[in-house]
Amino acid sequence: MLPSTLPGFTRTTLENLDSTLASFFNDFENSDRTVKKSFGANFIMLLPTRADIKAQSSLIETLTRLHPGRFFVLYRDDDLSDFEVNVRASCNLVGPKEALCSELIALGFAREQIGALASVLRARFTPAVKTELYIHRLEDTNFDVIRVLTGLSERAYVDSRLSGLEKVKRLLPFVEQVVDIEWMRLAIWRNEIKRGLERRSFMNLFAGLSEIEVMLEVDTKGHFPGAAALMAGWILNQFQLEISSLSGGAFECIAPDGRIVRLILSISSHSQESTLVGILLRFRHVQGQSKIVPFLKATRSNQLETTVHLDSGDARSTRELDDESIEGVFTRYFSIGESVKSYDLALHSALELENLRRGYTR
Amino acid sequence: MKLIEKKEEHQQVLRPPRTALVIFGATGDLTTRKLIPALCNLAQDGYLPQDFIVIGASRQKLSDQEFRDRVFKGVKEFSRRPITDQVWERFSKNVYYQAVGFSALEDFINLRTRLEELGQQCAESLNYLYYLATSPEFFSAIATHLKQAGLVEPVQSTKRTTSIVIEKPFGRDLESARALNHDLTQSFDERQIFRIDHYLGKETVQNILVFRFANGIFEPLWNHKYIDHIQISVAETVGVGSRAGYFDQTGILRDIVQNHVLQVLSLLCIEPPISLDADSIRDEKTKVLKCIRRYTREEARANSVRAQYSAGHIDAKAVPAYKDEKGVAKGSSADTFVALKLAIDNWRWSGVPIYVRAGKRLPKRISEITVFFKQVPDTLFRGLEGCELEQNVLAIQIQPEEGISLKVSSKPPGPRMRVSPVVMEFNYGNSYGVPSPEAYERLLLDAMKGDATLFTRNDEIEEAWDLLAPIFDLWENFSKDSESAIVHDYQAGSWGPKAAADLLRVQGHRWRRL
Repeated sequence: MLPSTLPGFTRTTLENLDSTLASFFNDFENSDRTVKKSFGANFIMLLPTRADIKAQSSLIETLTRLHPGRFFVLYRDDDLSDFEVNVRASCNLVGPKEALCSELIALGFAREQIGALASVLRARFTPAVKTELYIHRLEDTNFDVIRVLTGLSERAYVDSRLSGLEKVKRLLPFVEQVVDIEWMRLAIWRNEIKRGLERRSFMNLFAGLSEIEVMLEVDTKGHFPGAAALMAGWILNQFQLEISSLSGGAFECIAPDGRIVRLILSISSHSQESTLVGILLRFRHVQGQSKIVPFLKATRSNQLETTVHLDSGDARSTRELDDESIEGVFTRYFSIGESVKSYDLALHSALELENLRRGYTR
Repeated sequence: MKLIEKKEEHQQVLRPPRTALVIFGATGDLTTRKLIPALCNLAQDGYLPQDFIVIGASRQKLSDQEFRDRVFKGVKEFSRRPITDQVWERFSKNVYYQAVGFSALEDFINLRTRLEELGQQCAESLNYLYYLATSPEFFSAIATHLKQAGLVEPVQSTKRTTSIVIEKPFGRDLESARALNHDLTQSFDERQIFRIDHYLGKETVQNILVFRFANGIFEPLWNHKYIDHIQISVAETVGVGSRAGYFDQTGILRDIVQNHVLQVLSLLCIEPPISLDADSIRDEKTKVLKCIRRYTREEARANSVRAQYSAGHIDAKAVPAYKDEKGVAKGSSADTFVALKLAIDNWRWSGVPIYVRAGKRLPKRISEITVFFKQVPDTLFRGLEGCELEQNVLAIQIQPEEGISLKVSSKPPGPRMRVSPVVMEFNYGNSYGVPSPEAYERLLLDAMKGDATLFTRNDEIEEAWDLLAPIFDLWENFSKDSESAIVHDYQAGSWGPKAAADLLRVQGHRWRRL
């Protein structure tokens, strides 16, 4: 029995794929709109199953709108005997009578087709543009496919909230750049901490730092949540501290000038989500002084409140939280541009902290 | 003047003089796939001479009608557009066949008789154009017998023009190219010899001259001060197919690089010629070829990569390794992929690497010249995230689509300063109302008119062999030097071996994704 056509798509074969896509644009010739095909990017989306195409339709629409190009939406189905090909055009108005369209190629494959998958994609990539890869969930069972796809891509988007930091780290050697959606969700926290700490009154404190206490409040299942780990790793990197060992419940870190700085890391947890809801940073100077600095938490009204305790009094600020959905993160990434600098380093530090907590020695 | 009269006047200007075209090797693929379809398209556009006949000549015994039926199938399958019944009827009436054994002088004398008989039907005497679509081993014999049978007029003859068109390969190396040319020039003057390289008939390749010399914005940049490097890529998805016997003795360096690639490279890099006549352009092309560095053995080793495809997939279809293809000799070291780094040692191009790659069983069929311009000083945007600068890249696509694109940097809409590449494109199909003619249409027309601009001259051929000689020597004379025998592997469906990427990495370059 032939597989059914994906809703909204046109069933075709590999041989007829290009002509089927071309026919969509030929049909537009009779309309009163100017329709252009985008050649901006090659974008591969690896989804777990066929059903996820519908489930992720909002994400697909968001990406085709923000980052138009040629999209390859891949899913594995080991019951298939050959590639299953469905295509459609996704068009968005960019002017009163002008539409810009992405081409969507949905490609189902079984284990037996993994060896041929790269050849199918290479034959259809738009030349001379970057190829990007979105991996919905990193699993041990799909790393064989991921290895093939990362070999074709310059950048991979993952969500460590879904996939876990360890699996993201496994990806790093195989692709030029990894963009973690969770990392972009945390941009607002990083920006608030930086804003809070970039004050003259803290400079002397940081010069002689002996201890940093980082309390992270997360909604978590109890294991070391990715968001908290990444923030802890990033904070360490900001102070240029290198983790040395775990001793007496605190991490011992070495500062560039050789000072030992203790990192006390505690995580309090509430419910089922792995969402960061609060950070408390406390610093202790070698002379024993301490200051409590940015205590950040998400309030019930979905705002981010920052309080910085200064000698002269508390400085408070409030800002709206960003949309934390994957669509929301991609919208900010492609419209405004989010920082992905220092991610790799933060990831390494985060995993080191976790390994030490679990009892693995360096 | 009415439109129809204008068109007729235009055709008159372009129409060659009365011609009899004799195709040797007429039962082969080239005639069916390319030559006759090209002639039919010329006929359909009204560009064939008033009196025009075609005689297919080959060893097989066929009647005129049998030959017409055979080539008609090719026209239906391979013509770039449908040929009307009317055009085919008019054209095919002047298509004939003559059995000719290439080593039998008597057959050439019979051919002469046939030509004279057919010529009597025409108002004026026909020019004779001989097209050698045969295996190269027959070139010398055919040329000699044409001369002996009285079918070659001196170049200054007022009776008729006689010319010969030969297909590549022009020899196997410098020595055999010289020998072939010696044999040909015993019967024909150099001015009567048209060496065909069908790449030169492609619109985009011809456009290189216009692009460079009719636009004020590019020529000032067309030198080592502004150009970082150049890449030329010729990629095919097909394997050797039925040509294994020929290809196994040839390899892709001979089959593609020695002719197509070097011809395109020389056009890309020439100095402005003093005029658009054939010799002025060919003089400049030859100068470029002379300036390409002749490598020492060590330099050849460091700047060349050869490889053979292993089993893989081409667009999901499993394909065998080259060594397992029918007709390939056991232990063959024929190159199905080659990557080179060349250098042109003249004032314009000094220090600009020219990277060439050509291969079979690559992921897609595409031929492209890419010019990478030097990076601007990165002072303004340095350190700003999202502002990673990319080089400006000019791409001239030769096939399958013909067009030109230019990659520039721009700011994407949004509140932050970011830099992103965008591509400005010109595509023949979208820009002009008429489809591009097939390369052979232009070349046949020019050969009939005696215009040699798009044909290669003997000195160009010899320079091309000469500059590649060190690489052939390295690859083929490896008895003393086992390192030079390296034939890398690449999976069919991939873009070539790792060694090809490493060739560019030395200078921080990478192959453009096609």
